[in-house]
Amino acid sequence: MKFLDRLLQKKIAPYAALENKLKQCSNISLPREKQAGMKRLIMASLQAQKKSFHEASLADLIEKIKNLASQIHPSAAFQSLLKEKLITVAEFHARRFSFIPFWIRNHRRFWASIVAAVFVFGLFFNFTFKIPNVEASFVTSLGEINGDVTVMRGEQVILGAPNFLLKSDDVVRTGANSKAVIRFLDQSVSRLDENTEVKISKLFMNPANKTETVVELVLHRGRLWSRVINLINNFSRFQVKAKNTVAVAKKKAAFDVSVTAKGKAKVSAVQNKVDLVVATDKKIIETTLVKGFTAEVKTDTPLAPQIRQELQPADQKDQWVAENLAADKQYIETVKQENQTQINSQVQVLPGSPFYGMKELSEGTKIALTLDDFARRKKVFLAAQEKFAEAQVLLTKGETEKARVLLDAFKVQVQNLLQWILDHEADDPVQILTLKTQITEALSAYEKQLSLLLPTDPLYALKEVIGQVKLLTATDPQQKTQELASQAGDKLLEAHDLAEQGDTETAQQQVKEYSKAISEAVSDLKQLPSDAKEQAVTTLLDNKAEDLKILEAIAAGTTSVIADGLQIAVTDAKTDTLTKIGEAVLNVQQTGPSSEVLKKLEGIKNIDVNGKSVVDVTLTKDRVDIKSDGAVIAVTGTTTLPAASASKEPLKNSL
Amino acid sequence: MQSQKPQLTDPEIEALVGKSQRGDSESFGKIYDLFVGPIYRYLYYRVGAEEAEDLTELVFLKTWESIRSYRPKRRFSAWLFRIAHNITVDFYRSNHFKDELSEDIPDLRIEANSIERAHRHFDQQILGQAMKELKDHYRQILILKYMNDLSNEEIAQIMGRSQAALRILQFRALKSLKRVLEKMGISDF
Repeated sequence: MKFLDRLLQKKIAPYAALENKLKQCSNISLPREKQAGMKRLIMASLQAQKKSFHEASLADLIEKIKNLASQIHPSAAFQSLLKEKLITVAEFHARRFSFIPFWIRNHRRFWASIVAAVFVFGLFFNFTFKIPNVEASFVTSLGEINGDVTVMRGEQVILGAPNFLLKSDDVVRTGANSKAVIRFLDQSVSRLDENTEVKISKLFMNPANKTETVVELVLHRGRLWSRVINLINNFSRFQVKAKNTVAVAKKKAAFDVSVTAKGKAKVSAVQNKVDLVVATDKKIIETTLVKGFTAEVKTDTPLAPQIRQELQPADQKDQWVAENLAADKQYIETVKQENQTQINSQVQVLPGSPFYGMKELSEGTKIALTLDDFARRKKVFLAAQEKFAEAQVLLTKGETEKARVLLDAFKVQVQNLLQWILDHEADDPVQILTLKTQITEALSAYEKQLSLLLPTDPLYALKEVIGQVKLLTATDPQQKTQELASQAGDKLLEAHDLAEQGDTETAQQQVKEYSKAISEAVSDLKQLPSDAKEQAVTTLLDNKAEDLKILEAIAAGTTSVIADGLQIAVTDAKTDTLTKIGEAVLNVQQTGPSSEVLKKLEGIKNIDVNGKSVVDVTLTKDRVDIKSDGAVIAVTGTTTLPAASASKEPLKNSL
Repeated sequence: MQSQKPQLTDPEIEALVGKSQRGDSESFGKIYDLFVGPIYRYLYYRVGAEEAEDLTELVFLKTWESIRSYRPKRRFSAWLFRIAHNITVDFYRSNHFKDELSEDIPDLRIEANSIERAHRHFDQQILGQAMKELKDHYRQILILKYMNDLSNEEIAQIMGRSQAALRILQFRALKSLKRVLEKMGISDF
């Protein structure tokens, strides 16, 4: 064994060095940086292999999806049918809208935007063009003040000042060398002379119709001038009481009332006429003073009033009258201007303005968007009112043709509205009544605002249109007759004012228009059923009494040679209209005597002007005799006298 | 694979659209021919075979109604697919569907077992079922990109996303589909 060990050591010995060398090699290692780099390379290689595999599988997936999707397609039958259907729809549509220009059809969004913009603007426009709620100054107040003016309200004594609001039971007092003006809620005006005391005993305005007013004053002492310029209905009145005498003005008048130091009441009619009621110790005397007549009543020993005609025009002999007439002229112009402004205030744009179309569109939109029927009709009426106001402005500018178009539109709109009311009267009576009241009130307000206009005025067309529309509002024969008679009476008032201004020619024309209107009213009346006829005749007779007084007032003011034509026209009007009314009365008599008609005839018979009876009416079974100053001026019935030849001379004498 | 895109250039398509806007029904017919396949396909994978025809009709009727409002600032195909997309959305809203795909397609997740999975291969039915499992915007991009071969620009206009965002979305949609398919036992495409 030793031998073998020795031999092995001998053989191995030469390799020991090598072994040692190799053992030293185990200490050699790859530097850390190289190790990390090598690792990165290996990992990147592995990732690349994995990614390549993944992408390859996704690409396969995509390819597979595409292949499957390419197999999906609609059936040939479906494709064909749908195409046919679409082409039919397309062709139908193309034919249907071929009349619309391409540039409109192809810009629907643009036009839709325009419409939307207009709509939005329209909403805004409504604010811009909202009708201002302008109310007339329906108040009674002090006007111009000079000197010492006080108002007694109960136990209070208030220093008077311009625009001081007055109430019922207020007492206005002027001191020495002092004057005051009171403007009333009905647009009438009174002027207090020095040392005057007036109590406002009643101020009334119908809330449902502001044109129905009552003003009552009591003159305790001093002198009071009153000018009534535009009362428009038979209900309204303006009266001044002085001692036992009451002076009542209707529609239009200028009169002076005073209480003298001796206790006498004196009333002078300066324009048109004033009704007088005097309480004597025995009876109540009623008469009418026409222009130029004065009545004096002794209050200590009450007797019938002493009535006399002034030989000289009042303004020439009395400074107070002259001053007041001049002030009235100015005041009437002011009121006319105010009334026009009130209507004009509803106007924002006029036809011809680039904004007018927008305004119309805005209104249309507003009306169309109002779902409630009644609210919509109210807006329609407001729109019609705007047209009326626009017409007024255009007439002022002399653009009559454009104004005429607007007035026609106004008439048509109101007519349609009235027809709608008739058709829906049973639907909602309360709402219908509200709407009707609104229309009636507005028309009455126009009538009052325009009542100062004369045929020579450029705005007169407005007044005529309101007259025509008011006739449309009359729902029964009595109302229609009332409206016709009232409008006829207005012609007489216009004639009076024209004659005052010296335009006797136009005044004459208006008197003739009056006769024509009464004649037409009687013709219409004959076609009515008996009940309605009786009511219509009654209405006509009521109005006739007032008309006769105005005719007397016109005649009283026409004394010069130049007015002869007017005097003849007045005489003819009186005769012709009385003849016509006689016809109407007989027509009613055919169906049986009517106590109401007889009563009204008696009323006409009792008309007293300046202390004298004007006409005497005798009704027999088949004949009506009308006398004036004992002479027959008109006969209606079996024996008819030629009116012209029978009437003129006696009537002239009577006046 | 047949091309999914209409075989007309964009200017040619725009010319047809212009004529259609002026009421030319024949041009509209040509547009219909070009796009009826892609639209039907889009709807097929969105709502299923049952509703695809009805909605295709609706899309083209709506297109005719609205064609005058089309402006060439966007591709016509993008505009058309946007109509299809809106109609699909309306369809689901009005029908209160919880799932977009037809209930007629069997739920393979339930019936799937290992044996069946072993024999299953990737077909139309599987694709439909897998698509049903995807999120809506994944499904939409797969249909537009791979089934209708629309460009990224067109898809961006339809979906209202940037093209960079679309590339990420495409990749994720594919991965999602692959994962769903693998779960369903489909790994051999």
